[in-house]
Amino acid sequence: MGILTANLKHLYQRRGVWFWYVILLCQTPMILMPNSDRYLGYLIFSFFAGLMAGGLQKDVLVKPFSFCLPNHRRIPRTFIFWIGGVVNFILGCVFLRYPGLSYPYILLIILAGGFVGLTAYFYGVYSSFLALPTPAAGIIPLLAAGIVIFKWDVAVQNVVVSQPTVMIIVGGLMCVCCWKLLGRDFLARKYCGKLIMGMFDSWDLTKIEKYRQARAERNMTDRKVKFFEKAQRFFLGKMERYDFMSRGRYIWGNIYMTFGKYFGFWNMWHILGFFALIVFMILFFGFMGPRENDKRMIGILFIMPAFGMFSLDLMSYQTMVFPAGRRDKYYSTLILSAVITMLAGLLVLAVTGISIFLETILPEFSFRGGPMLRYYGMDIGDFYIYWLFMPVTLSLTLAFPRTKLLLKIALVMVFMQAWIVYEIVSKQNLIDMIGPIGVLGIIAFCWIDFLVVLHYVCMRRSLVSQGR
Amino acid sequence: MKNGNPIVQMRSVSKRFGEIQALDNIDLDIQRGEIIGLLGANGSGKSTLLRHIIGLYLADEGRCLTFDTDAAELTPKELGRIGYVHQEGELLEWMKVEQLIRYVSAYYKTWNHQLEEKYIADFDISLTDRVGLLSPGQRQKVAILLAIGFEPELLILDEPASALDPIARGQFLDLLLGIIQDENHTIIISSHILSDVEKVVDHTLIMRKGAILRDCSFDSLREEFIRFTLSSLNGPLPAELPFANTVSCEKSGGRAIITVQNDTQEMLEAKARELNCEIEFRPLSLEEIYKIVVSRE
Repeated sequence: MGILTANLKHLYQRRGVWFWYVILLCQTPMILMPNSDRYLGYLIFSFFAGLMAGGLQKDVLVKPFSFCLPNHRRIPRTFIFWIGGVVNFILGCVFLRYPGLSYPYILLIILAGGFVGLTAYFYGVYSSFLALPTPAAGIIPLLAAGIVIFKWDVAVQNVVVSQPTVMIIVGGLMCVCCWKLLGRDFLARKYCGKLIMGMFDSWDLTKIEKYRQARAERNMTDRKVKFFEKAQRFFLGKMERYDFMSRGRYIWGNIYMTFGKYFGFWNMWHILGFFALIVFMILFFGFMGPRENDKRMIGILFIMPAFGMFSLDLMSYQTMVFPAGRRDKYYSTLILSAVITMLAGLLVLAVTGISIFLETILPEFSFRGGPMLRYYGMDIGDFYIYWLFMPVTLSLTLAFPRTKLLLKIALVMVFMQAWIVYEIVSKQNLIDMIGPIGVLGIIAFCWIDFLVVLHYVCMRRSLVSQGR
Repeated sequence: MKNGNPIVQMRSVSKRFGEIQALDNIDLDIQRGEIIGLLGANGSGKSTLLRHIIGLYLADEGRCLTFDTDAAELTPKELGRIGYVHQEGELLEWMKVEQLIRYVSAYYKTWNHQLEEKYIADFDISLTDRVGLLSPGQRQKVAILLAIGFEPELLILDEPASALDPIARGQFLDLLLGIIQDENHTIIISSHILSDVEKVVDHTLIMRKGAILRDCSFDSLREEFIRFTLSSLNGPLPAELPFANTVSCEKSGGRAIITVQNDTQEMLEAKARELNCEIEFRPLSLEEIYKIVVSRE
């Protein structure tokens, strides 16, 4: 078996690749776009295919054994070009639908379309294969904005149809550059044995932890060290207010352990990024306004914190034996969940307040003659949704500690469906449908379910899984 | 030593992970003051057994009592007397080593700061390093310190020295020897480095496929198997040698290296005299005994 064949086998042997196939599958509507005069929707597919191909090959180069394999160092380039060529020239066939094109001119168009696809593909390759340490995907929103507002894709599409030879020449030159770039020897040396989070490493918990530690160490500053010293003094002070071996001491210690685990990695950019994401969501969903059912789309923000719970490990560090029995773990996890729910709830309330305020000050406007855009804030009456979803995701996190990453990925995939369900459910307000007592009853039921799951996990189940 | 009730009692404990029978009807008593060597191949159930003792795993069948309390219901009072080191166990990765020591010590009234300082100096532990970036050896040293710092009555060491360099391993054994001076301490040590284990253990447990093959004192195990060299004083040895329970026999002309089971030195010497042979006994190492026991089962 040749080296290239062995590499191509990754396309079906790696579990993570199948997840990417689902992502690619989700892009197929963009390729076809029936009843549309836009044909370059497949660039998104090409970009994701490039991400996948580049990511796969970076994962291979990172393994030290691949550095020593004869003739292996330039195989990634061949692999990437093979996949890119096949995928994009097939995708270029969407121009067969273009009206008024005759044979053999259409072949030139398909070829030109393929080269345009290769541009997006190589940008994906660049993001996952060459850019370190994380994909340089920052340009995507800009491109998306350009496509939505300025219809850049239509401009490119017009060039493809009217000047295919120009596109073929430019695309060919780009391929030559990429061929040279991907064939450089230093890439193999650069990646060999390096601790890099690959696109398919979401399942490798040990590697994730190691990577996070290395990143955290890189991000460590004097100010951060001082902050953690202060935090430790605070929590140790709280612990010392309780007797040795008491539950109170463990509860404070557990809160410290859990929060430290997550906040220990954050730097100023993470915090700014987090708030920037919140601001983006407040604006984005606010301007999406109400849909046909008069329900404001920004209401989805009530569910967001619950999604965040999937990345949380409520019962961490179980192989470290502290003087705390299962009952102590039950109470400490309960209190930890309550603290997290309260903090996230306060954040949701703050976001609700901001969105309501924005609704009062943001004027209605139209962009380049488009429809009028009006901002809609969150409806405080929907706050119950938060209390409904939190216990459900907390229970799932507890019940499936090892599979939560997979679960999270699966949930991202069904996110759009959840959105639709939300819309269906909210055609009529749940409170109007079953009354406040009924809603309270459902919320109480969800929390009781959480308590039952928590009790089972703490008192009846093995605290660590096999192999940990 | 060996006074009072056992500090760990397992009765008919079984545990299954899917298709794998991790523990199979285990009956075990661990007496106070014992230093137990837990031996077995990978996947033989050693870690699973240890985790039952501290209640991390719950038995599918049977019962495990630790300090006379059901392991599922251990309270801080009992857990505060147990130190546990796991080969690849979790530590608070995001802390500096010093922060981690301060944090863990905050749980124990009995934390011995003098021992901590001595250990840090002896084992050359850097307090300013981030725990998550420690090498496996350094990490293991920190884990050991956290487990012994409060001088637990029951110290459970699951592959504690696998990542330590030879010098650190020697220091670690010295440390264990120091701990066992106090007869109130019980240590269970699971390790593949049997040459280390045999220096400290007084009791051996040999496991295979979730079952206990041997549960006896190290001395009795050593007495059970005897290896000797038999040298003929005139001519070659007879084709059939009159040793019952022969485990192995390598003959070469007038000389043979023989391992026997359940025999005494006196009886073997008498038989050697009958054969007009010279006999020289050589004690078996724990590793050799382990291999014999496992291969014969």
